[in-house]
Parts: sequence; C-alpha cells; structure tokens
Amino acid sequence: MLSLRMAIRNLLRNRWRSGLAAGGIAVATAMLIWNLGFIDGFLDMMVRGATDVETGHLQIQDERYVEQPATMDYFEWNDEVRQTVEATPGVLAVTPRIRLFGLVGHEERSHIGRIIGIDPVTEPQVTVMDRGIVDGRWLDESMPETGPAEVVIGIGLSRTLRVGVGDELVVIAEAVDGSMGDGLLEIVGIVQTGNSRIDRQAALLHMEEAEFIAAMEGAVHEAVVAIEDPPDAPDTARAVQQRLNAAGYDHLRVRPWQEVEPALHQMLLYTNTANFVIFAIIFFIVALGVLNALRMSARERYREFGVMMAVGMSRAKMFSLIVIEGFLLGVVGAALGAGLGAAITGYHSVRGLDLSGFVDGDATYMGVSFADRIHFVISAETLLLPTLGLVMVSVVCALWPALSATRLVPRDAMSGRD
Amino acid sequence: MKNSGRITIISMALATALFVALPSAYADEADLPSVDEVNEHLDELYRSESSHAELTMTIVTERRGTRELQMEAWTKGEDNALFVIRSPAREAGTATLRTEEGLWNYAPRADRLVRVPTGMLSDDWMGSHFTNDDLVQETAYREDYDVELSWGEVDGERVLQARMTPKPEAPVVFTRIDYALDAEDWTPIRAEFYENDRLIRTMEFSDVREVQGRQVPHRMRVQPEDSPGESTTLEYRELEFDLEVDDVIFTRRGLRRIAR
Repeated sequence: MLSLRMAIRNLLRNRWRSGLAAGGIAVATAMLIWNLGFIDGFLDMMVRGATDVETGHLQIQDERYVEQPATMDYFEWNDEVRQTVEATPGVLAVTPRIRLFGLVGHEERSHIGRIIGIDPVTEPQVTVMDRGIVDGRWLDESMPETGPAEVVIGIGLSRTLRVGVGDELVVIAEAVDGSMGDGLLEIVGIVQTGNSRIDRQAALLHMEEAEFIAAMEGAVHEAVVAIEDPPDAPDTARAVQQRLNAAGYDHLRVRPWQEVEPALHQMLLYTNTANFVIFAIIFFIVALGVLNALRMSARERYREFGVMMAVGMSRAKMFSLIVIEGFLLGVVGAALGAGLGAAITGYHSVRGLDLSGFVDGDATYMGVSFADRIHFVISAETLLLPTLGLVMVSVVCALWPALSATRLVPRDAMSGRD
Repeated sequence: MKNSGRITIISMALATALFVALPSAYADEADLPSVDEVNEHLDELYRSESSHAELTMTIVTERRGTRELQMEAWTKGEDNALFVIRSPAREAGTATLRTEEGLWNYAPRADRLVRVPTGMLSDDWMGSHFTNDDLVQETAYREDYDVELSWGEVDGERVLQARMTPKPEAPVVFTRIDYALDAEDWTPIRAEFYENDRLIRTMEFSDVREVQGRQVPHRMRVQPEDSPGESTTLEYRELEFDLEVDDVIFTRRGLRRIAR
C-alpha cells in the first residue's frame, strides 16, 4: 500500500509529465475505439447492404440453379415447403422470388435488367427494399385488376432509362421454355437501397406478372429467409436443409449468406486480420510514447532512487513502485480515453459519419453504396479491448525503466553519475 | 465501290460482309480473283431493292431440346428489315425491327417497341445462337476488316477462301473471320469466327437454290464451339426479291398491323 501511495505521489509531483503520458494513452485508446467502431460500422453496412437489401440471411434454390442460374431451374413453391422453412427454429420470415433476365425499357432506351417477381407483403418481412422508396410507393398488396401491372425500379435504372413514377415500362425476358415473354408495366415507385445490383438493374414486380412473362406457375427461383441471428446463418441453414430433406425436398439447397456472398464473407475475415495488424501498429506507437515518458520520469529521479535505496528500500520495492506508476498512468489514461472514445463513437453511431466528401458521387464497394452516412457500431468488446490493451501496454512499458532502476548503484546514482 | 443494298437476311448479310473496297495485292496470283471482282459478283447476286421471306428457325439446346419457330421477314433498301415470329402461338407477333435509326424488339403482349441498346448487339437473338448483329449487321465489316483471298479446300472441294482480319483499332468482337466460298459461283459455304484466335462458332451455308437468277444458300446453320450439342438452323421456305414492300411496315404503326 505504501508503494501505491508513493506511486500516486510521484505521478502527481510532475503533473505535466504525467498528464502528457496519460493524455497520450487516452488519445490512443479513444482512437482505437473510434477506429473499431468505424470498422464494425463499415462491416455492418456491408453485410446489411448485401443481406438486408437483397440476399437475405438464407437462400433456398434448386441445386441446379445454385450451380448456374437459369430461368428453367425453378422449384415448386407450395405450402409444405413454406411451412417447413417457417417452422424451423430461428427463422423469422421467408419470401419467394421469381428471377428473370432480360431487357427493361421503352421505345427510346432500354437496359439489361434484373426482373424480380416478388410478394409485396412478405418481401418487406425479409428485406428492406421497400424502405428504400424515394419516390412513389411500394407495390400494392395485389395486382391491379385492369391495366398495366405495377413495377418498382432502382433509382439508377430510372436515370438510365429517363423514366419516373407514372411512366410505362416494357420488360422482355426469356421464359422457361426459351421463348420470349413480355409485359407492360407502370412505374409506381423508385427505390434507392445502397445495393448497386438493385439500384442499377432491378425491376420489381408482382409474382403473378412475372409468372406470366416467364410462362411458369406455382414455382419460384429462390426463397429468401430472414433469421434471428445472422452470424449463425450456417447453423440455421443446416437445420432448414435437414427439415427439407426429411420432407422429401432434397433437390433444394439452403445456403447461408456467407456462402451466397463469399466475397463479402472473405472480406470480413480479411478485415479482422487487417484489424489485428492495425491494432498491433497503434499499440506499438503508443507503447513507444509511454515507454519514453516512463523512462524519462524514472531517469530524472535516479538521484532520488539512489537516496531511497541508500536508506534501505529494497530493489523489489523499487521495481514494483515504477511498475505501479505505469499501471496507474495506464488506468487513468485508458479510462479517460474510453470515455472520450465512447462519446465520439457514440455520437457517430447515432448521427453517422458523412463519407460523401471522401468519395466521388455514386461510389460503391462490393455493391454497397458509400454515398451515404456510415453509422458506427459500439459494443462492450470494442470498448474494453483497446482500454485493457493500453493498460497492459503501460505496464509492459514500465518494466524496462523499473528493471534499470533496480540495477542502480546507490552511490553512483546519488552523485548523478548514472 | 458504292454501297450495295444492305440485304439483311442473314446469308446475304454475311455475304455482303465481303464487300470491302480495297485494291488487292493478290490479284496477280494465278487465276485468283481480286477482292473487287468477288465483291462485284456478290453485289450483282444479292443486290436487291427489297425482299420477302418465310423462314423456319430450329433451335437445338442441350437443356430444352428442340424449338421450332416460323418467321416472316421483309427487307427494303439499305437499312430496313423486319422479322416477325408467326408461331408458336406464345411468341407469335414478337418482332425485330431495324431501320436506319436503330434496332427494336416489338413486345406483342405489351404492344410496345423496345429499343435494343448497341451494347446488346452481340447478345443472342430470340434465344437462338444467332446474334442481333448477325441479323442486322450493324458492325461495319466493310470499314473494320481487311480481306485476303486465297485458294483452299473444304471437304475435298476446291474453295475460295476469304480471311477477314480487323483493321488496327477497329472496334470489333471477332479477331478473325474465315470464309470459304464456292470456287465457281462464290456463294458462301462456311464461315468461322475467331475471338483471340480461338474458334468461337462456325456458320454453314448449304442448300443453294436459284431464286430469280441468283444462287442463294437456303439453309444456314450456326454452331457454337463451346457447346457441340447445340445449334440453330435457319431455313428459307420461301424467298422473293424485288417485290413491292410498303415502307410503312418499317414504322411502329405499320409493324403493329403486320405483327398482330
């Protein structure tokens, strides 16, 4: 206890020096917390951009469709399949889709489109496409009884085709038998989701209309599932697969988003590795600063140490005194930093950080748009990891000056020859 | 040489691809015709103010088996062409229109024309193995390729070979096209299309019959190299040149009337 009191007194004796060292630790801690918050926010956005908008957490397709998507590789969508999926623990909702490739346009312009037949009621339970409406409205619950069918298109596609809400649009797509099907649609809404596949190419229409264009009935190309715990998608996928197999639907493949979006999944793994490297570098830089502060503070007091040793202080005490100083500096600095980091990161998690100044226009990375704000993610892990880490760094940094101090010869130290 | 009528029905479109005005350095080789001579001859053979044809297109794919489409086609002048599918019923009325302003698909259920973007010219036409470009020959072979003639052999028969290589920096898909022409009347027999010196597809012309004094191959078969089990065959059931074709069918209004 004496060591602790002495350590505190020593630290307070030169407030400037201690303050600077603690300040350095605080800034480093805050920076790491903020950085982790940014990276987690970024990854979160990437995953959401892919899964929440289009991919969902699980996808169910015919095994041939998984190999090579082709309009003719659909599967029968019946109540048994739907209920089997819905009844699996962890599954929140499921929605079917018909996917066609073809031309979307009008007499003046056209573009290759992803023509997606959806259920306007269940789709929003699985994805957030409907929340991306920037003009007009989402598809009505049911098809209009007369006149053109409804379509919601991506904002990029609407710009390419120079059309807006209320305009008509034609789709021409390959049907299951290889023939060409077409349909006349009226644009009821424009979506901007941040997912470039949707924003630039999607034409969303009622399942019934898509069935007509593709000459298919009661069948779909994929069913998309939302689950409770997205990181555990592989487990839930296995559970759904087992139930489908047991019900005799073993030609269907259930894939977690990690498998559907392997590039994204890879990136998450890489980012974690990269994080570790960045962490190590920041720790190292901070460590140098702390080391310098503690060593200078120890050196300045060599005379004093000499006196203390001369009056009977043991080398072990001497050692622990300096280590405790380092520990105290670390605790105070890291605690300040944690507070500061939590505050800034918290602010950016609520308000988001506007990245539009850093990217030109409609910049996207792996299909996710960055024209938007990035919302930081703050968690116990991202808060505690840098804080505890820097306390440890401080302790480790105190070891060297502490060790040096124990090697002092009192007579030389007192006379200032060390 | 002046523009011959751009005859857009496929065999002729490809034949006219040879119309490349350039002095041939090979003309002095023993009895080898000059490119100009071949051009002139093909020009005489295929130049027409207009044409009308009834065709059968048979598409063989590995996954879907065989599909057969009945079609009707009109051409007029250099730029106008119209293809209409007559059967099967589901596709009847689907049409492709080419005018000097561009290329359109007609969607019969929607009753609308949709412009085909130039980026889709190399895409397949109506699910067949022909491309939009085969059909309308938007690519300016005349401007983009050099032609070199030589004698060769195909299946033991002496043929006139025409090798087309792109001029420097010509915006083309194919890096080489090898034509084999009949040694006597210079009608096309076969064309091989290469991308980066890899054979992509082969087109064969057969069943040569005389129509109004012209020797015209009545059957064209395209065979993609990467799927040997697949092919598309286009056959003329009827073909007539230089008849009255009303300009109005190449407009939206006229097309709708004729397609429906």
